This record gives sequence, structure tokens and C-alpha cells, in this order.
Amino acid sequence: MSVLPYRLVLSPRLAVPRWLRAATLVGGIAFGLICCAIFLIAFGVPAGDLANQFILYVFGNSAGLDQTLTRAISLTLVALSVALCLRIRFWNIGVEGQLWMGAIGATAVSFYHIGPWFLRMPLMIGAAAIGGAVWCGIAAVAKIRLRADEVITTLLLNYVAYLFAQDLLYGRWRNPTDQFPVSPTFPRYEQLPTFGGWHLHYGVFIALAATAFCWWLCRYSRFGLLSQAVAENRTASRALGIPVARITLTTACLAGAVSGLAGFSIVSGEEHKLTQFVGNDYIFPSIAIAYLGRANPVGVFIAAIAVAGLYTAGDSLKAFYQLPDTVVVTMEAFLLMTVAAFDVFIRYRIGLLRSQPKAIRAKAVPPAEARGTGA
Amino acid sequence: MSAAAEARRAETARPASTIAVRMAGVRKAFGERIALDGADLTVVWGEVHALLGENGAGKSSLMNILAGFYGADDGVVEVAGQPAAFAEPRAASAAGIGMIHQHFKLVGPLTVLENLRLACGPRAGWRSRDAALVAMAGMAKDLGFTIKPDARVDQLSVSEQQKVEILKVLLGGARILIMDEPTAVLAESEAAAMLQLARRLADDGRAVILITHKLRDVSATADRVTVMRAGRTVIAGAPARDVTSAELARAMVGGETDILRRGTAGPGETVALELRALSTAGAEHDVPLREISLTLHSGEILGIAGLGGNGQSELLEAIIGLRTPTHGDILLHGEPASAFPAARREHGLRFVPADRFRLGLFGSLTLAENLAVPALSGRQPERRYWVTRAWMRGRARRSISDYEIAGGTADTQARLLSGGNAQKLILAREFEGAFSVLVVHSPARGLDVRAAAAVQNRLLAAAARGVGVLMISEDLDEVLALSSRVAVLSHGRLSAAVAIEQTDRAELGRLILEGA
Amino acid sequence: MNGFLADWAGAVPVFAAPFLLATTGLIINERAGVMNLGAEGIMAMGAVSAVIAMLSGSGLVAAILCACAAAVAITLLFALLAVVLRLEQVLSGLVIFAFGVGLSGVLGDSYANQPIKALGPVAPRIFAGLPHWLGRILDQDPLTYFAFVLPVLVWWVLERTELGLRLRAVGEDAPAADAAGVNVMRMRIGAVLSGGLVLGLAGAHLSLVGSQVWVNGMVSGRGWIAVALVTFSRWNTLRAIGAALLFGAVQAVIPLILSSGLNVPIYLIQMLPYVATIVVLGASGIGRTSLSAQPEDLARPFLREERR
Repeated sequence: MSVLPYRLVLSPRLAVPRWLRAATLVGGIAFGLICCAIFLIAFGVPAGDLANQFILYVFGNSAGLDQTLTRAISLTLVALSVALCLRIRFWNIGVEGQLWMGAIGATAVSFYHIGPWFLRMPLMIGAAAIGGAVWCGIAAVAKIRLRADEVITTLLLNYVAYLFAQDLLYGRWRNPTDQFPVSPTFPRYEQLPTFGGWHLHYGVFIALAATAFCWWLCRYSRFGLLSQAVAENRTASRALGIPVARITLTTACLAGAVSGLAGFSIVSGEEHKLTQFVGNDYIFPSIAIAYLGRANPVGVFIAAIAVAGLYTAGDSLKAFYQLPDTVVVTMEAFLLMTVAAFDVFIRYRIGLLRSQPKAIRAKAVPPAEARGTGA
Repeated sequence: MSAAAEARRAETARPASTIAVRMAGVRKAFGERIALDGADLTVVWGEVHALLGENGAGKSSLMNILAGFYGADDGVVEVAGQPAAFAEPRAASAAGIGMIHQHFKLVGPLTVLENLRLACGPRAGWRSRDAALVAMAGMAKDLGFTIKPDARVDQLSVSEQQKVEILKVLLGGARILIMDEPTAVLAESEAAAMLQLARRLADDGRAVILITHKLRDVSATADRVTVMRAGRTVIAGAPARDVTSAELARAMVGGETDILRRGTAGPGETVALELRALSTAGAEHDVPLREISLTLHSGEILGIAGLGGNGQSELLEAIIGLRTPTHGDILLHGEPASAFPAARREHGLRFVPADRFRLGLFGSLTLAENLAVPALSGRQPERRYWVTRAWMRGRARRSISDYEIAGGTADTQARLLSGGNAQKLILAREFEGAFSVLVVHSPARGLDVRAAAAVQNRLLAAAARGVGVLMISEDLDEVLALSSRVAVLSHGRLSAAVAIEQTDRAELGRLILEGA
Repeated sequence: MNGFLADWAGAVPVFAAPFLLATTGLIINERAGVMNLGAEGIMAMGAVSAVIAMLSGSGLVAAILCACAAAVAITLLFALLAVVLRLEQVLSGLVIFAFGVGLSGVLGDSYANQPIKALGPVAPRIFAGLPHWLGRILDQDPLTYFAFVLPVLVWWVLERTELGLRLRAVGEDAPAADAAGVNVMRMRIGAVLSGGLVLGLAGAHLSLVGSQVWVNGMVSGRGWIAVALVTFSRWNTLRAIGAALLFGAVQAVIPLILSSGLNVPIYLIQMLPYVATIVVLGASGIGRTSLSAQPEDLARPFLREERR
């Protein structure tokens, strides 16, 4: 019934050599970039300009580097959030909502003048973390208590948080001076300082600290091992006395808090106010970065810078060739698709087998196939 | 049986085609593990051919190749004199090969009739549901089965499911039947009937291959016997009446084996574990436990005999705290047990599950990590904030040498271990630190003779140290060999425990079948 | 207030139809054991392709066919990742989600915000004799009618035919179905592609009937809500009709409230469908019954050579 003379046969690999893992990742990224290039050329970008766009504008000049690194701060944080959740096989597709809630929390502290000025920044950070943690915690509780699929709940909570922010911006928090849907600009002591004349701000330290913390958490704390156990087998974990529900909830809240910090870093470091566009376009990049970084905090950090570069390139593409916003997310999808597809080489040995006769009554049996050396 | 008659005619007309199956020099590797290393098998029409071997000897792999589930890496496979290398199971079944797997290949949520239509509808040419119903009723009557066609398969008993499998294979027109340990899951009387059925199917002119590791099945039913060891054929098609059990055993095992120490530790005075009228709810496909009471003393092995699927897993899960009882009490050392598995563990409870990778081990974690999990998970973990690989490896090396875990280092993933070594790994982990109650479920299931003996000796040693061992086992021989007292679990009810001297195989067999 | 209710009732089928189509498509997938989280992206591709076809001057039928073709093309990619390469289905779905949303944005960029002459009600006159509100409900466009016929058709195929039996067997227990001679991979690819086709129709409905214009991101979570509705309707396409009507009613009330001139928090009102979905998803978890209807091999890749 199969028409092809050969068929693909996958058999699971038992042990995977280190070089193969590296080669697969490199191959996947390379193939993904080729796909992106073909895609861009198809949409009218001259092939000769691609190298310029990708290298020169991204890392070659200080403006590009500034933009890339600034973007990498929030990307690192949201991707760490996804990566933490992936360790317990909890799909956090709700970083955008958590980021919004973090931004709302931080702005609330500013808007209602909570605490003296010198405590304002720590309070904003705390509020942002709590906002994010609560938002992700809701999905975790729904999963633990009601077995509601976290993929859907976290995703839909994005919309809820976004609409909540819009409600605030068009309502109570609307800037009284010009009636624009943005909150009043933060005073200086609520803004993260920047480096010299750059846009790059001290949020870098938050991203670095979060990366280091997550790295320690996964590598050296007992959580690292127990979360792996929970991810692998919940029933066995419970039987061995691992508090599965508590680990799930703690991880989700921690991850939400990290996303919330991204919200803080954007409102306090970049925008200096809550705007309508604070939390746009983070869902898929966070997943792509977490996956490209192999859910390893250090890997995530590196991948975040690379993907941030993609955005900088995307911005110049938008400016020069009138390509729409979604071009970047499409490129990310290409990259993740090829990297994930290349993973098949890690997981399986792939062989081509000659399609064989369906029934012995069929006369056309290739004798060489049936009789091996054993005959 | 017109097909059988045809086969007979064909046989007499062409003596050359008396050979139903010929396999020679078959090789198969799964990754680095070699399952078959040049296996041979020849089966003729009209015989029951026993395929004997320890677990992991390659019997199932060889038959899976014949039935088209795996492709062979090398070697000759001929069916009825024609070269055959089936790319898919349905190619094999089209060629008249039917396999009755140890783990039935039935779609649980579908009904009996739906399963039959699924498997043989296209081939049997049933145009409607009614046609299928008629065909099923006819075949069932012929074989003496009574099965409701509209029952969901996952709600049938194991022996009924096996009958559905047989119907499926025969209605699909199979002339070469492969039965993979058909008696393993059946009670003794049911097993005898199943062997008679195999005999009858062979007498009708089919070829029946009986995979087994029970010597008794061979002498009772088989015409000829092939023995495999470590992926090779060591006895090829010897007439069953010409070989003695001792010869077969030696061929299977190869060399001398440690004979199990038949020690029976006497029960101590103190009560380690007590269940009082414990009942659980039966959700979905589970067997509810009904008012189970038992008393386990320190230093004894209390055997719980019974057929699989009568509440064994549920009992183990209830005791370790994975299942909440609807009523009844569990007392550990005289105190009501906490609701949390973690607390029960801290109170000295350990367990060895039957399904090693569902409840026992984490397959993708390394040996060292598997061994470290309980040490890190309790309320007083050995380490909290600085868990290093070096520390885990150090602990693991000790356990690996103490428990003679072969086939892996501290950094090997647990899923790469063989069944016996995986079981040793679980024992190494569970026996760590002080404990006083051990619940085990089919501890030697799927292990070869040597590994089984090693595991069973560990249980005896634990009992000798004063640990109360509750051994739930579906292997009556094991229960008789190890326990000091025995009770029978049947349909979720437990009979009263009796001392092993005061009962015998026949009495236990009756309890197993009929319940208390 | 009669006018309000009639407006509402008349709008419900149009709002329910994309949910119903998408849920039906996803049920076809999931009954075969494949979880397709790319629904949102596939619907976006369907919606944008239909609009591009219309704006390029083709007819309605051609536009619908375009939507289906685009949806099937992107679903083919999903089938390659999830079924052929056996990648984790959640990840494959997310990739397709992003790819569909991204690509639809790029393709539709120069067609965005241009109104099209869309699919309208078939024959208003037939329903003239009926009460006003009933007429409003019954008088719909062909795609909406089809949306309500399809689930019945799919139910019949799944529950009453040989093909449906084989498809269900693959979703419940792929190894057993394989042993019974069903080509698991072909069955799953077939289910994924036909599901994708229906998702494309859902997308086409959104742009041709619903908004009558392409706006970037216009699917706005409906694909995800449909994924949740599969659980809510317990993998049964007949129950999906009720579920979709419920959500159509919730969605249909929003524009009415917004245009009523009442002083209401518009953004909070817009949260309704999302919050309702989360509530419904939580509620289906309370009784065990609905989850036990879940196909047992859902989202489990099948590989025969694997030793089980």
C-alpha cells in the first residue's frame, strides 16, 4: 500500500553522544537561518543586504547593540520563566499576562505613592514579582485542583491581563494632563538608571541575578533534582514523598514572579510609565528562547541575546523594506521549527528501509532482502 | 474448520510444505543491546511447538519479528516455504500469522465487537455489524466461549480478554498462532483449559507456537520444544517427550544457579502494620478494595497470593498513601498512618512496586539521581542548598557495588538497565537507612532465575533483620517459597491469613479462584 | 428590549459558527490522538487567505477554497512535526501557532483593513412569515448552515462507520490499533489534515462572515478557546454544538453592549469569553466524567519499533 520504494524507520536512541547534541543544535539553527533568509528574499529583501541587516545593524554599531541588549533584558526574564516551568513540564504560555500584571503592580506602587521615596523601587520590584506570581499561580492552582490544562489557562490569562491593563489606562490611570492612555510618568527615583547615554539600563543586573539564581536553583539546590523527578513521573514522585503539588505551585509562582520582573524592568527602565504596548509580543519568543537555550538558564541568557538581535534586525527590516511587525515572530517560528525538527536526530536513529512485501503471497520478494548473511 | 482441512490436504499433497515457519540466523539489536544473536526456529503444521527461555532470552523478540512488529536486522524468515519479511503486523496477519500477546493488543475503551471488526472486518469481508456479530457468535460457540459482544473490553476479566484475543486472531484467518505466555495470567484450571485449546487448534492443522517459561506447560502440551538463551537457540525443535525437565532447565539457565534459600523467618511479637477494614473506591478501571484487614508482624513475610488484577496494585497504593481509603484504618506501629506518603516513609515504610518504571524509577534520571531522590525529598533532607553531582555519585557507587547492579555506572540513565538490575536499583534505594515495614509487589516478575533469587534473598534477609515484609505476589510458587503466613486476595477481598504449614497449593488455588 | 434580544439571538449563530467549526476540526484531531494547539495560527491563515482571494477578485467559493488550501498547507507542516517526526505535540502546536499568526500578518499586511463584500444570508424571504426573532436566527449564510451540519456528519462518521471506528481506535490505543492492522500514521495524518481543513473553514468564516475585513491578530484567542471547548464538549461533536452556542452567545452580547451606549467598562466586558473559558475548563475538571472521555492516547506519539 505504501507507494514509496523506501520508508523512514525511526528507532529510539539510548545514549546520545555530546557532539551529536551540539551538531544537532548548530544544524537546526543554521537550517532555520537559511529558511529565514529565503523567506525574507521572497518578501523583497535583496539577498546582498541580509548580512548587513543581521550583523552590522545588530551588533556592529552601538545603537544596534544598545537596542539588542535592552531588549535582551526582558526576553531573558520571560524565557527564564518558561524554562523554569518546563523543568516540571508545566507549559507557561502566559508570560505576557504575567508581565502585564508585573507592570501593573509596579505602576500601582508608583501611582498610589506607596511607601517613602527611597523604598519606592524595592516596593515596585516586590509588587511586580507578586503580580506575576499570582497570575501564574492561578493557572497552577487550576491545574492541581481542577486538572485544567495549563496551556489554555495561562494563554487565556494573557488576554485577561491585557484587557485589565487597557481598562486601567482608559480609566483611572489615564494621564490627566494630555488624556493619552498612558499612566503619569514616573519620577526619577522610580526609574532604573541607564548606562551613560545608552538606553541600556540597570535592569541588566536584574536579568543577570535572575539567571544566576535560576542556574543555582536548577544545578545545585535540591529543587533541581526533585523538579526533574516530578517532570518525569508524577505518581512515582508522590509515592516517594516528593510534595508534587507544592513543587508545582512554587515553581509556577517563581516563574510568574520572574516574568513580573520583566514587566517592572520595562516600565521602570524603558518606558518610565505604563503604556498600551508594554507587554506585546512576548509569548512565542519566550518559548522559542527557552527551547533554544535547552531550558538551561545560562543557555537561555545566550539565546535571549541572539533572539533580541533578531528583533533589532527586524526593526531595520521594517524601516527599510516596509515589512510588518509579524516578520520577526515568523522568523522565530522558522528557527524553533527547524531546531525542534533537528532534535529528531537526537531522539531517534533514522534509517531507510526498503518497503517490503505486504504478504508472502506476493511473488515479488527481493531475495537479497530476506536472505541475509545468516543463510 | 475448512481452513484446517485445506491445510491438511495441502500437507498430504505436498510433503515439502509441512514446514509452517522457518527462521534461521535471525539477528536483532535495539540500540546497543543485542536481543537476538542468530536465533533459529522451525515449526511444522499441526504441532504445538513450545518456545522456552528465561526472560530476556529473546523469545518475544523473535516472535515479534515473525508477526511483523519488528524488522529483523539479519537472517532468514520463511512462512509456508515462502520468504517473508513482514514490514507491518497486518502483512503478517494477511499471511495467516496471529499473535496473542502477553499484554493484549486490544483497544480498551472499545467494545468486544468493535475490536473484532477493527481487526478482522476488512479481511473477513463483513458488510455490516450484524455480519460481524454472526461470525463472532459462530466462532465463540465453536470454541465454547461466552462473551458479551457489547461489553467494553477494559471491563472484562483478564481471561475474557484473552478469549477476545483468540477470537480476533482466529476470525482474522490465522493458521499460525503465536501464544505469548498465555497461562501466565490465568488460574490453574483456566490455564489447563487454555492449553487444551492450544492442543485442539493444532490438531485442526494449524501451527501453534507456545512461548512459555513454565516447564510444566511444555510437558503437558507441546509436541516439540525449542529453547533459547541470550538471543540464541540452544535446543532446536527436540521432541518434547525426549527431553527431561532437568535438561530443559539447564539449557534455559546455562550453568549452575543459586538455589533459593528456603528460609522462613518466624513472626515476631510486635505488630508492624495493621489494616482495619480498609476499603477504597473503584474509579475508572480500578478494582475497589473491600474491607481488607490484616496484621503484619515484625520479622515475618506475609504473602498475599492471587491473580493479577484482583486489587494487588490498589492494595500497595493504599498502603503507601497514594490512594485515599473510603473507610477503614491503616496503622503503622500501632499509630494511625499519616495521609501523606512522605510521612509514612519517614515512619519506616518502604515499597517495591510491580511496575518498576511507573511507580519505582525515573527512567531518564541517572542511577545516582534515582538513588538521591528519597534522600532529598523528606522533611529532613540530607542536603538542601548544595546538592552536587560528586555527592550523588559517591552515594551511588556504594549502592551499586553493594547491590551488584550491573550494566551501568552512576551516570547511566535508569531506563537503560535490564529488568533485574532496575529491580536491584529499587531495592538499593528502598533499603537505604532504617526501615521497619516493606511492601513488595511481584518482586521477581520478569526477572531471570538468578536475579529473582538475588531479590528474594534480600527480602528474606530483611525479614531476618526484623522488618515486616508484606509480599503481594501473583506467582504462587514464590509465595509458597518465601512466606511464613499467606492470605489470598480475590476481587478486592482478602482471606484470613494462615500459616504456610497449614495450607497447600490446592487449598490456595481454590481460594484464588473462588474467593474467600 | 425585544429588539435587543432579537439582535442578540440573530447574531449568536454567526458568532458560534467559527467556534463550532474549529471545535469540530479539533475533535477530529484529538479522537485520532493528536492534540493540535496550532488552531489559532491555522485559523489565522484561513482568514487571511480568504480575504486575499476576495480582494484579488475571486469569488466566494474560490475564497473559501483558498482558505482551506492555506490551512491544509500549514497543517501539513504540523503533521510533519508531530506525526512523522514525533516531536512533542504541545511544542509542534505552539510552533504552528506562531508560524500561522506570523505568516498571516506578513501575507495580509497589504490587504489589512480593506473591507470586502462578504457572505450574507441566503434567502431572507423564506423566513418572512416567521416571528421576527426566529427569522433572525434561521436566516443565515451558507457557511454558518454548514457549520451546524458538519458536527452531525462528523459524529455519524466517528460513531457509525468503519472509518470512524479505526480513527477512534488509533486515538484510544495506537499500538493495539496498529496490531489490528490500522495504519496509524496514515490515519493520524488524515485526521490532522481534515481537522486542519475544517479549521481553515473556521478562519474563513471569521473574515468572510464575521468581520468582513482582515485585521492582524483578528482571531484573538478563538483558536485557544476552541481547544478548551473540545474538553468542555467531552470530545463529542454533538455536544460541541451546545458549547459553541454558549460561547457564541457570550461573544455576541459584547458588541451589542458596546453599541448600546450604556456606560460600562468596555475592556472588562471584553474579558467575558476568556474568563468564561477558564471557568468552564475548571468546571469540567470537577467531575471526573468528562476527563474520562478523553482519548487515552491523546498527545502520545506512536512508534512501533519502541519496546514497550
